[in-house]
Amino acid sequence: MRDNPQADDLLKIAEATFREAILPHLPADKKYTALMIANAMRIAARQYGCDENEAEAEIAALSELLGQSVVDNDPDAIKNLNKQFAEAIRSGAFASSNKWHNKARKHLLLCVQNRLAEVNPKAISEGGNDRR
Amino acid sequence: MDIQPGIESYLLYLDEVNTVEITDLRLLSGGAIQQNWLLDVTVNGTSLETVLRTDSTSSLEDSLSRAQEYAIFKKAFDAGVTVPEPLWLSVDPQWISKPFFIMRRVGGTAAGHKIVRNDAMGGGRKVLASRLGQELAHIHSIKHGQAELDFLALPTPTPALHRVAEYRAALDASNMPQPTLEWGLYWLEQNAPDAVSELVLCHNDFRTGNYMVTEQSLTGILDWEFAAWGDPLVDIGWFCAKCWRFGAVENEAGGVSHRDDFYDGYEQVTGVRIDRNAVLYWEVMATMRWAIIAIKQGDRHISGREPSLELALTRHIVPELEQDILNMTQEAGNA
Repeated sequence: MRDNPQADDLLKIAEATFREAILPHLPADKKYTALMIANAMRIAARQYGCDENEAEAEIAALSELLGQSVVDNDPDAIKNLNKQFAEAIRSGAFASSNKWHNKARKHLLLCVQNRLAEVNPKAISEGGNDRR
Repeated sequence: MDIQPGIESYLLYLDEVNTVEITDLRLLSGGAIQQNWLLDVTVNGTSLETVLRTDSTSSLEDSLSRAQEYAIFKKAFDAGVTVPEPLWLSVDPQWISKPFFIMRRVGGTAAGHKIVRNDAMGGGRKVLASRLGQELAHIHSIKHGQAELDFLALPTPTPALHRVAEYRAALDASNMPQPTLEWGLYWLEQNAPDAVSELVLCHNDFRTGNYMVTEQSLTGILDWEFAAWGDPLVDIGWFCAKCWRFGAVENEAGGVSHRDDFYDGYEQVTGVRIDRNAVLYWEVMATMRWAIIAIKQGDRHISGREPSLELALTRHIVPELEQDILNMTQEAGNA
C-alpha cells in the first residue's frame, strides 16, 4: 500500500505551486513552454482521477452497437471493439438511414466528451452557434 | 549546429556578392515542420533584414520541399500576393547540410491569440478581414497549368474525395482506431461536392497565425509548404473553421471579424459570389484535416522519434475537433 499523498494529489499541488510560485517570474520567451508544462500536469492529474467505470460502459455500449456479447477479462476488448466499430462506420453500417445511426452518434459524443473532461473540460458544448 | 559559417560561405559564393557580414542569426520559436532563423546581414555594404527558412528535425511527408516552397513564393509575389520577397535559394547540402531559402523579413506579429484579441490589428477588424479575403482571391487567381508549379499535386478523382482517401490512409497508418473521425470521413465521402471546373492554387494553410500583421496593415502571407491545386473553397473553409479562431469563436472569419467582411474582400477581387451553403462542408473537412495532423504530430512523440511536449499536447486537441465534427455534421444533416 502506498503512502498518501499519491499521484493525482502530488500532480495537482505541483501544478498549483508551479503556476503560483514559478510561472510569474519567468521571462516572456519561456512562458509558452511553462504553460505547456502546467497543462500537461493538469491533464495527467485528471487522468489519474478518472472514472474506471467509463471504460466498462464504453465496452458495453460498443458491444450493443455491434451486436456482440462482451468477452470477460479481455485486456484488448476496448481497442478491438473500437476497431470493429470504426470499420463498420467506414463501410456505411451506421449511415443516417440505419436505425442505429442516432444511438451510434450519441455514443461517439459521450466518448468524446469523456475525453474532453480530462483534457479540456471548458470545451464541452452541445453544438455550434455559427451564423451562416 | 552552427550554421553561420555555411551561410557566409554560401552568400560569398553568389556572383553578385562581394562582401558579407552577418550581424544577427538566431533560431525563431515555433515551426514543428520547418525552422525559421532571423538573419540580419550586410551584403555589399547594404543591410538586409531577412528570414532563413530550412527543414526541421523531422518533416511531414505531405509538405513541400524548401525549393518548391520558394518557387511558390516567387509565383505568389509576382501575382501581387503580399508575401515576403524571396531572395535566394540553395538546395546544395555543402552549406548547412540541408536546403534553405532566404527571404526579406516583414514586420508585425503572426501570433494568433494576440491578433484575435486586438481590435486595431491590420487597420481594424473589418479592414483586416476584407484584406485577407482580397489576398486569398489573388492567390486563387493563379490557375492550374503554370509550368513553374508543375510539381504541385493534382487532386483525384475530386478535391474532396482525394482528401477523404488521404485521411483514411493516415488513420490506417496510425495505431489507434478512431471511430469518430471515421464518422466524419463517411459524412465527407457521402456529401462530397463535384470537382470544380477550374483548379486554382490553394495555399492550404491560410489561417490566422500564418500571416504577419501590424496595427497598420497586413504585411505578409506565410507558410506555403502545403500549397497544391484544389477547390478554392478549401482555403475559405480552413480560414473560417472554428478550430482556427483562437478562442474568439464569435468572429467566424479566422477569429478576426464576421464572415461577410472576409467574403466581401474575396468577392471584390474575383467578382464571383461565394456559395455560403457550400462552405460548411469545407469547414468539416478543415476540422478533419487538423485532427489528422494532430494525430500525426502526436505519433511523432509517441513513437519516440521526436520526443516533444508540444507534439504530445497537440495530440490532445483531437477530442475537441471530434466534438466539432459531430456537431457540424449533425447541423448539416444527410448521410
